[in-house]
Amino acid sequence: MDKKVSLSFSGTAILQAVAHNYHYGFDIMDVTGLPSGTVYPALRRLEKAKLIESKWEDEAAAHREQRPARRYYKLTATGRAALQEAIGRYRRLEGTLVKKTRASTA
Amino acid sequence: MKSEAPSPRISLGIIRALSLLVPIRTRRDWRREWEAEVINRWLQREKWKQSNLRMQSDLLMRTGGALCDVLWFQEKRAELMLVMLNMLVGGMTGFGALQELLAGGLFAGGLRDGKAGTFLLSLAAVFISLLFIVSGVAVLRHWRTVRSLIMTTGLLSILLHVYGALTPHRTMGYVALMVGAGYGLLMLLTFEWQRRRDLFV
Repeated sequence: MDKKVSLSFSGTAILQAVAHNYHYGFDIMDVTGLPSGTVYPALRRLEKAKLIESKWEDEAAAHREQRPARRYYKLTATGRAALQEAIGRYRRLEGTLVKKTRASTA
Repeated sequence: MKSEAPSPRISLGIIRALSLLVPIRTRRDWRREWEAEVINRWLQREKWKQSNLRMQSDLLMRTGGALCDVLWFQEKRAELMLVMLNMLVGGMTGFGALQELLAGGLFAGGLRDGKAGTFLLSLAAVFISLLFIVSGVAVLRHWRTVRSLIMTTGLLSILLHVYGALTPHRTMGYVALMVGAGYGLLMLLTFEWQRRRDLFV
């Protein structure tokens, strides 16, 4: 049976980036602002937890563009569900914080 | 003097060196992924409007993170190290305690000669050495009870070795204290760190 995993902030940010079509390690770093020392180990953990999967680009297509083929990451169905759950968690937190701030300033 | 065309040679060299630390079955893909990213970024430097020097430093910063990536792959090795150290410390603790019990004559006349404390301490040490070995097997075989076993073993080992090294009975030396209590603590921290790392992705 798969172990229930909780998404950390960096895990959520990376999944969110992958969901928005940033499929490569360096591109994920650029868009999330996270360093490579955080992004790559997180990608390994997310893949191990089956929240993302990785594949290699078509060699021929990359060759035509005169560059090496890159490994890209895709969200799995489990990853999409985990991302939705994490986003919901952050939204609830934001709602709570807004409510508390309003109450303290009123 | 002939100047060489700029290239991400340093970054690629670092990646090649670090790849030696990656387990063999994933090494080729690991190196291929990192090299492809570095080369792609280098080829895009015009698009990114970055000078060669700036791009070199940016790539070096990124390549530095490959070390953290390599460390992630050491998980299995860390697990094996934990198992081996558990066996070693368990064996050493058990050997010392059995020596006290059998060769030191505690087993024969320990309770009669007023050495009940030392006798019980040695028995506890034998028990804890067995716990070390069992928890090592539990880590290796991924038993469900592994966490409670590790916690119990670590805490009992710390307690036993600190208590044993204290006066007035003081049946253990400082080396035993350092090894038994130190490793007990290290084992607890390593295991918990690994467990938390697996819980949060």
